[in-house]
Amino acid sequence: MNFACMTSANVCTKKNVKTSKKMSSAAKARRDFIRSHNFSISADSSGRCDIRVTKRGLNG
Amino acid sequence: MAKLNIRRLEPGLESVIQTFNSGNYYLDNFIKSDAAWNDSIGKTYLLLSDDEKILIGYYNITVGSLDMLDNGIHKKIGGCVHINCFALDNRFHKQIEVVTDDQMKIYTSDLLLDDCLQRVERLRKDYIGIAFITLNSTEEGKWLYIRNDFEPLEEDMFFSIEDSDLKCTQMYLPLEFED
Repeated sequence: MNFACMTSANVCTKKNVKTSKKMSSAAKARRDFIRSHNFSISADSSGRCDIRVTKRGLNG
Repeated sequence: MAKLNIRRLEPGLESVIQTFNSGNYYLDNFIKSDAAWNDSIGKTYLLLSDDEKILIGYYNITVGSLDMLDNGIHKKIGGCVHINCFALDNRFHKQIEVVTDDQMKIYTSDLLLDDCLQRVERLRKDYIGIAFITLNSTEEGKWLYIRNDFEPLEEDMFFSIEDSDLKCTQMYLPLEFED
Protein backbone atom coordinates (compact mmCIF):
# COMPACT_ATOMS: atom_id res chain seq x y z
CA MET A 1 0.00 0.00 0.00
CA ASN A 2 1.44 3.32 -0.99
CA PHE A 3 0.26 6.57 0.43
CA ALA A 4 2.66 9.26 -0.79
CA CYS A 5 5.04 9.43 -3.71
CA MET A 6 7.93 11.69 -4.59
CA THR A 7 7.45 14.41 -7.13
CA SER A 8 9.74 16.99 -8.64
CA ALA A 9 6.90 19.48 -8.86
CA ASN A 10 6.71 22.53 -6.63
CA VAL A 11 4.02 22.49 -3.98
CA CYS A 12 2.14 25.48 -5.26
CA THR A 13 -1.34 26.95 -5.25
CA LYS A 14 -3.23 29.88 -6.78
CA LYS A 15 -5.65 30.16 -3.89
CA ASN A 16 -5.24 31.13 -0.29
CA VAL A 17 -4.30 28.31 2.00
CA LYS A 18 -5.11 27.90 5.67
CA THR A 19 -2.14 28.88 7.80
CA SER A 20 -3.91 27.59 10.88
CA LYS A 21 -6.87 25.35 11.52
CA LYS A 22 -8.94 23.83 14.27
CA MET A 23 -8.12 20.19 14.70
CA SER A 24 -11.13 17.95 14.09
CA SER A 25 -12.47 16.17 17.15
CA ALA A 26 -11.83 12.76 15.59
CA ALA A 27 -8.21 13.55 14.73
CA LYS A 28 -7.64 15.05 18.16
CA ALA A 29 -9.10 12.01 19.91
CA ARG A 30 -6.97 9.69 17.81
CA ARG A 31 -3.83 11.72 18.41
CA ASP A 32 -4.45 11.92 22.15
CA PHE A 33 -4.95 8.17 22.35
CA ILE A 34 -1.82 7.40 20.33
CA ARG A 35 0.30 9.78 22.39
CA SER A 36 -0.90 8.48 25.72
CA HIS A 37 -0.28 4.81 24.96
CA ASN A 38 2.63 2.58 24.05
CA PHE A 39 2.29 0.25 21.08
CA SER A 40 4.26 -2.87 20.47
CA ILE A 41 3.91 -4.79 17.21
CA SER A 42 4.88 -8.37 16.54
CA ALA A 43 4.60 -9.53 12.96
CA ASP A 44 5.63 -12.44 10.81
CA SER A 45 6.28 -12.88 7.12
CA SER A 46 2.79 -14.32 6.51
CA GLY A 47 1.29 -10.96 7.41
CA ARG A 48 0.03 -11.94 10.82
CA CYS A 49 0.24 -8.88 12.96
CA ASP A 50 -0.34 -8.58 16.66
CA ILE A 51 -0.32 -5.32 18.55
CA ARG A 52 -0.16 -4.77 22.28
CA VAL A 53 -1.29 -1.50 23.76
CA THR A 54 -0.62 -0.17 27.25
CA LYS A 55 -1.37 3.19 28.75
CA ARG A 56 1.76 5.22 29.34
CA GLY A 57 2.86 5.88 32.87
CA LEU A 58 4.47 9.03 34.16
CA ASN A 59 7.80 7.98 32.69
CA GLY A 60 6.35 7.34 29.24
CA MET B 1 6.51 -2.29 27.36
CA ALA B 2 8.65 -0.96 24.54
CA LYS B 3 7.41 1.91 22.43
CA LEU B 4 6.62 1.62 18.74
CA ASN B 5 9.80 0.41 17.08
CA ILE B 6 10.66 3.21 14.68
CA ARG B 7 14.27 3.66 13.66
CA ARG B 8 16.13 5.88 11.27
CA LEU B 9 17.55 3.91 8.37
CA GLU B 10 21.10 3.02 9.32
CA PRO B 11 23.73 0.38 8.59
CA GLY B 12 22.72 -3.05 9.82
CA LEU B 13 19.15 -2.76 8.59
CA GLU B 14 19.84 -3.58 4.92
CA SER B 15 18.47 -7.12 5.07
CA VAL B 16 15.12 -6.19 6.62
CA ILE B 17 14.18 -3.87 3.77
CA GLN B 18 14.72 -6.41 1.00
CA THR B 19 11.31 -8.08 1.31
CA PHE B 20 9.31 -4.85 1.52
CA ASN B 21 6.35 -4.82 -0.86
CA SER B 22 3.90 -1.93 -0.83
CA GLY B 23 2.52 -2.76 -4.26
CA ASN B 24 4.09 0.34 -5.74
CA TYR B 25 7.16 -0.30 -7.88
CA TYR B 26 8.63 3.12 -7.27
CA LEU B 27 8.25 3.10 -3.48
CA ASP B 28 9.54 -0.46 -3.20
CA ASN B 29 12.59 0.43 -5.24
CA PHE B 30 13.16 3.66 -3.35
CA ILE B 31 13.58 1.97 0.02
CA LYS B 32 15.99 -0.56 -1.51
CA SER B 33 18.04 2.07 -3.34
CA ASP B 34 20.82 4.48 -2.46
CA ALA B 35 18.23 7.27 -2.52
CA ALA B 36 16.79 6.08 0.80
CA TRP B 37 20.22 6.67 2.37
CA ASN B 38 20.87 9.99 0.67
CA ASP B 39 20.76 12.89 3.14
CA SER B 40 20.36 15.33 0.26
CA ILE B 41 17.07 13.66 -0.71
CA GLY B 42 15.59 13.04 2.72
CA LYS B 43 15.76 11.07 5.92
CA THR B 44 14.18 7.64 6.04
CA TYR B 45 12.42 6.22 9.09
CA LEU B 46 11.37 2.59 9.40
CA LEU B 47 8.52 1.01 11.37
CA LEU B 48 9.83 -2.40 12.37
CA SER B 49 8.32 -5.35 14.17
CA ASP B 50 9.51 -5.79 17.74
CA ASP B 51 12.05 -8.40 16.75
CA GLU B 52 13.29 -6.16 13.90
CA LYS B 53 12.84 -8.94 11.33
CA ILE B 54 9.93 -7.35 9.44
CA LEU B 55 9.70 -3.90 7.87
CA ILE B 56 6.07 -2.87 8.32
CA GLY B 57 6.31 0.59 6.75
CA TYR B 58 8.49 3.58 6.19
CA TYR B 59 8.51 7.28 5.42
CA ASN B 60 11.09 9.67 4.01
CA ILE B 61 11.00 13.39 4.78
CA THR B 62 12.76 16.46 3.46
CA VAL B 63 12.26 20.22 3.57
CA GLY B 64 10.58 22.54 1.10
CA SER B 65 8.11 25.38 0.87
CA LEU B 66 4.49 25.93 0.04
CA ASP B 67 4.26 28.61 -2.62
CA MET B 68 1.52 30.76 -4.06
CA LEU B 69 1.43 31.51 -7.76
CA ASP B 70 0.41 35.13 -8.19
CA ASN B 71 0.39 36.51 -11.74
CA GLY B 72 3.03 34.00 -12.74
CA ILE B 73 5.29 34.75 -9.80
CA HIS B 74 6.00 32.18 -7.11
CA LYS B 75 5.64 33.64 -3.64
CA LYS B 76 6.57 31.64 -0.58
CA ILE B 77 3.72 31.17 1.89
CA GLY B 78 5.76 29.20 4.39
CA GLY B 79 8.44 26.60 4.96
CA CYS B 80 7.43 22.98 5.16
CA VAL B 81 8.52 19.48 5.85
CA HIS B 82 7.65 17.46 2.78
CA ILE B 83 6.84 13.77 3.03
CA ASN B 84 8.61 12.33 0.00
CA CYS B 85 7.44 8.77 0.53
CA PHE B 86 5.03 7.05 2.88
CA ALA B 87 4.28 3.37 2.47
CA LEU B 88 3.11 0.27 4.28
CA ASP B 89 3.85 -3.28 3.30
CA ASN B 90 0.73 -4.79 1.68
CA ARG B 91 0.66 -7.53 4.29
CA PHE B 92 -0.06 -4.99 7.01
CA HIS B 93 -2.26 -2.56 5.17
CA LYS B 94 -5.41 -1.45 6.96
CA GLN B 95 -5.31 -4.08 9.60
CA ILE B 96 -7.42 -2.73 12.41
CA GLU B 97 -4.78 -2.49 15.04
CA VAL B 98 -6.71 -0.96 17.88
CA VAL B 99 -10.38 -0.36 18.64
CA THR B 100 -10.69 1.91 21.66
CA ASP B 101 -13.42 1.78 24.29
CA ASP B 102 -15.42 4.36 22.34
CA GLN B 103 -15.04 2.34 19.09
CA MET B 104 -12.41 4.59 17.55
CA LYS B 105 -10.27 2.65 15.08
CA ILE B 106 -6.55 3.22 14.88
CA TYR B 107 -4.62 1.69 12.00
CA THR B 108 -0.93 1.04 11.49
CA SER B 109 -0.86 3.95 9.07
CA ASP B 110 -2.18 6.28 11.81
CA LEU B 111 0.65 5.22 14.11
CA LEU B 112 3.31 5.76 11.46
CA LEU B 113 1.87 9.12 10.39
CA ASP B 114 1.66 10.33 13.98
CA ASP B 115 5.32 9.44 14.50
CA CYS B 116 6.10 11.63 11.50
CA LEU B 117 3.95 14.47 12.88
CA GLN B 118 5.60 14.26 16.29
CA ARG B 119 9.05 14.34 14.68
CA VAL B 120 8.10 17.47 12.75
CA GLU B 121 6.62 19.06 15.88
CA ARG B 122 9.92 18.50 17.73
CA LEU B 123 11.86 20.08 14.86
CA ARG B 124 9.46 23.02 14.87
CA LYS B 125 9.63 23.50 18.63
CA ASP B 126 13.41 23.26 19.05
CA TYR B 127 15.22 23.76 15.75
CA ILE B 128 13.64 25.33 12.67
CA GLY B 129 10.54 27.24 11.68
CA ILE B 130 8.01 25.12 9.83
CA ALA B 131 4.55 26.25 8.78
CA PHE B 132 3.22 23.18 6.95
CA ILE B 133 3.60 19.53 6.21
CA THR B 134 3.11 18.78 2.53
CA LEU B 135 2.96 15.62 0.45
CA ASN B 136 1.88 14.15 -2.85
CA SER B 137 -0.86 11.65 -2.01
CA THR B 138 -1.83 8.66 -4.06
CA GLU B 139 -5.53 8.14 -4.71
CA GLU B 140 -5.74 5.24 -2.27
CA GLY B 141 -3.82 7.19 0.36
CA LYS B 142 -6.05 10.26 0.49
CA TRP B 143 -8.37 8.83 3.13
CA LEU B 144 -5.47 8.60 5.58
CA TYR B 145 -4.51 12.24 5.24
CA ILE B 146 -8.04 13.61 5.16
CA ARG B 147 -8.91 11.78 8.36
CA ASN B 148 -5.79 13.33 9.87
CA ASP B 149 -6.85 16.88 8.88
CA PHE B 150 -4.72 17.41 5.77
CA GLU B 151 -6.21 19.69 3.10
CA PRO B 152 -6.00 19.14 -0.66
CA LEU B 153 -4.52 21.86 -2.85
CA GLU B 154 -6.72 22.74 -5.76
CA GLU B 155 -6.36 20.50 -8.76
CA ASP B 156 -5.83 23.13 -11.42
CA MET B 157 -2.17 23.29 -10.43
CA PHE B 158 -1.39 19.97 -12.05
CA PHE B 159 0.17 21.64 -15.08
CA SER B 160 3.55 21.45 -13.36
CA ILE B 161 3.31 17.81 -12.37
CA GLU B 162 4.74 14.90 -14.28
CA ASP B 163 2.51 12.39 -16.06
CA SER B 164 3.21 9.82 -13.36
CA ASP B 165 1.74 12.19 -10.78
CA LEU B 166 -1.58 12.76 -12.50
CA LYS B 167 -3.49 10.48 -10.16
CA CYS B 168 -1.88 12.05 -7.12
CA THR B 169 -3.10 14.98 -5.08
CA GLN B 170 -0.90 17.53 -3.40
CA MET B 171 -2.00 18.02 0.20
CA TYR B 172 -0.93 20.11 3.16
CA LEU B 173 -1.40 20.39 6.89
CA PRO B 174 -0.91 23.73 8.68
CA LEU B 175 0.99 23.21 11.91
CA GLU B 176 -0.62 26.10 13.75
CA PHE B 177 -3.69 24.74 15.46
CA GLU B 178 -6.51 26.87 16.81
CA ASP B 179 -8.01 26.17 20.21
